[in-house]
Amino acid sequence: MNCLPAFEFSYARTATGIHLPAPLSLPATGLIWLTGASGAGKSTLLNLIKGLHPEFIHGTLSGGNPAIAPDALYLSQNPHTQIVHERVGEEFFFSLEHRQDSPSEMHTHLKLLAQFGLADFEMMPTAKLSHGQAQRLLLASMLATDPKVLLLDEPTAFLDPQMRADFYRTLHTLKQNACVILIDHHREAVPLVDICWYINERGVIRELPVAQYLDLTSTELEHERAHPQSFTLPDAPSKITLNLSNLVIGYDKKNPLFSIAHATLQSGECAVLCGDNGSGKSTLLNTLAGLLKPLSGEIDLTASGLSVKPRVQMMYVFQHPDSHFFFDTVAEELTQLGVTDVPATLTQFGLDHCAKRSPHQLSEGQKRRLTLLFPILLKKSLIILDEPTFGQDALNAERITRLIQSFKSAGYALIVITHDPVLHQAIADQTWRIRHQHLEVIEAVVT
Amino acid sequence: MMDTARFNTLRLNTHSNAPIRSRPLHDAHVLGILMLFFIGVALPMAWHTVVVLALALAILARIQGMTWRSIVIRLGLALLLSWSIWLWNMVFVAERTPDTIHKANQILLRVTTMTWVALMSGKMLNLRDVVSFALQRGWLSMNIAYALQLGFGSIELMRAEIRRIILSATLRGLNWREKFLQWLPILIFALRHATRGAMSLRARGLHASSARKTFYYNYQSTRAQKRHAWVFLITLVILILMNEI
Repeated sequence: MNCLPAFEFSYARTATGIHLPAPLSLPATGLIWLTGASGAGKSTLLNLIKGLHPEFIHGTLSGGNPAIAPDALYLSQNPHTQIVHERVGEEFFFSLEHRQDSPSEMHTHLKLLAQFGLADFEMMPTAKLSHGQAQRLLLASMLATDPKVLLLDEPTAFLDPQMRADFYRTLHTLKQNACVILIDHHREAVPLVDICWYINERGVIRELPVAQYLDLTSTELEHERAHPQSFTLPDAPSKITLNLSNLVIGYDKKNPLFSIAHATLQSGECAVLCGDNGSGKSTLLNTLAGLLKPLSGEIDLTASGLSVKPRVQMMYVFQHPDSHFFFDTVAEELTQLGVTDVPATLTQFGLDHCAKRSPHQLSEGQKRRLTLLFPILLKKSLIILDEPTFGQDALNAERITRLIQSFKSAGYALIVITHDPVLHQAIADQTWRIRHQHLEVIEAVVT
Repeated sequence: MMDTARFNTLRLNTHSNAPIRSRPLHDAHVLGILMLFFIGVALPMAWHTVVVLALALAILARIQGMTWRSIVIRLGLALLLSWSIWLWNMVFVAERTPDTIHKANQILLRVTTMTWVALMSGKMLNLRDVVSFALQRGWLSMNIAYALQLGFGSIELMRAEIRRIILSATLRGLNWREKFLQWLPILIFALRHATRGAMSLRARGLHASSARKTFYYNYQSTRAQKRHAWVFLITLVILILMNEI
C-alpha cells in the first residue's frame, strides 16, 4: 500500500491552493472517488500525484512529495489535447507500443476498441473524432495496458448514457486489479466507490465515508433549493422563431451526417439536442453559428417579425471555454461586456474572488460558469449551450439548471447539447434526437 | 496477417500495414524526390528543364492521388503568389533591356514552379507517416518524433480554435481594436496546446528514459514502391539530360 504524504501546494501568483494535513493511504486495488466543488483543486491533486509538478503545473510545494504514482496513466479532461497520432488505430496502440508488447500481443487487445464502439474506426483520422469518441479511444488505449494505477479526470463527461454504463462495468472489473482515482460528478459511479477523498472550499483534503459525502452534498442541495440564488435576468431583447427546413448537415455532400425535415423553436422554448457520440450534434450547432455551411436546405430566423442572420441574435457557449476569453482578467472580460458591479455578478455564479485572476487560470468548471454569463450580458435572444454542466458538481449543476429555466422564463430560446439526463428532463420543451441520420423532433409531455 | 519487413541491419516485426504502404510511391521517397527538385531548381538549368521537371512532379502528384483540378488550382495560386516578384524585377531596374526582361522571366518561372510544387507537396505526401517511418527506422528519436507528431496534429485543432475565436469575437460584438486582441487567445491556445501535448506524452506513459518501443503497423516501403521510386528518378535524370544536352 502506497501513502500520500501530508503536503501543501499554493498556485503561482495566488494565495489559494490545496492542503493535505494528514497522510492518506493509497490501496493497491480499489476505486478512490475524488470529490469537491468545481475549482476546489481536484485536477491539481491528480497532477501532483502523477508528478507533473513543477514542469506542467506551477506553484509552491511544501511538506512531503505527493508524486506517488509517476507511472500511472492519466486521462485529462479535454481528450483532444491528449491525442498524439493521426489515426485511431495508431493512437490505440500508443501505450502498448511503449510497453514494448509484441504485435501479436497487441492484436489481442483490439477487442477493447470494439468494446468502446470504435471497431470500424481503426484507420479514421483522430481529428474527425467527436469529444465522446476521443474520450472512448483514450480510455480503450489506457485500459489495454492493464494499468496498476489509473488517474481519471471526468472520464465519462462526454459519453452517452449507454457508453457510460458500459464504462462503469469495465471500471468495476478493473478496480479488482488496479488502483483507480476517479473524478466524476455522475452519481452512477457511487456504487463502485471504495474510498472517498474530499477537497473542501478551502482546499483541505481529507478522507470521508462515502455516505457522509453524499449527506454533505444532499444538505447543500437542499439548502440551495430552499434558498435558491436568484437570477434576475432582463427579458429577451426580441421574440424570435427559428425554422429549420429540409436541412442537410455535414462536411461532405456525398456523405452527409444527417438531415432535418422540419424543426421550429420559439422564444421561451428549449430544445435539447441528443444523439450518439459523433452523430453530428456539434456540427449542427456550428452550422447554425455560421462556422459551417449547410449542405442544402434553409435556416430561417425571424426576430420581432424581421428575418435576420442567426448569428446576429445568437450566443454560442462552446465546449472549450478558453475560446471565449480575450482579456487579461475576469474583471476586464466582464467590464467589456458592460458589467458595472463585477463582484456581485461573480458571486451570483459562485465565482467569488476570481475578478483579478486570468480567466485561463480558472478551473474548467469555473470557466464554464463564467462563459454562461456572456449570453445575458450580450443581450442575445437565441442561446446555444454545448454541455453546460460538464465538469460541474451537483450544486453548480443545480444552479445552471435553474439559470437555464430562468432564461426560458425571460423569453430566451435555447438549444442545449447535454448527456446529463437530469438537466435534460428539467429544461427540455423539445428533444431533437439524431437517429439513423435524421433529426427527430419529440415534444415534451407537459405534466 | 503477420508481416515481416527486413532491413539491412534491422528485422522488424509488425502486425499490419500502415496506409503509407498502399500508396503508389512511398511518402519518404516522394519527400526525397521533392528535396532533389528544390536543390535542382537552384542550379543553373535551362528554363525548359525546370518546366519539364515541374510537369513530371505534377504527374507524380496525380499518381499519388491528387485530382487534375486540384493541381491546376495550385498552379494558378502559384502564379498569383509569384507575380509580384516579376513585377518587382521589371519596375525596379535601372534600365529595362532584353536581358533584364529575360532574367525577370527566368526568376518568375523558377519561383512559380517552386511554389507550385511546394503547394502540391502537402497533398502528395503525408508528413506524419514519414515521421513514423523515420521513427521506426531509428532515424528520429522518440522525443523529436512525438514533438513533430503533436505539432502536425495541432494544425487541425488550431484551425478549429481560430474559427471558434473569430466567431466568439463576432458574437461578442468586439470593435476592430478589441478584435485585434484575437491574437491573445490564439497565442494562449498555442502555448497551452504545446504544454498539454508534452504533458499528455508523460500522462500516457512515455518517460524521458523511454528509448525503445515496438510497432503494430509497418511504415516501411514495399519492393514495388522502391521500384517505382527508382523508375521515377531515372526518368527525371533522362529528362534533365535530354533538355540540357
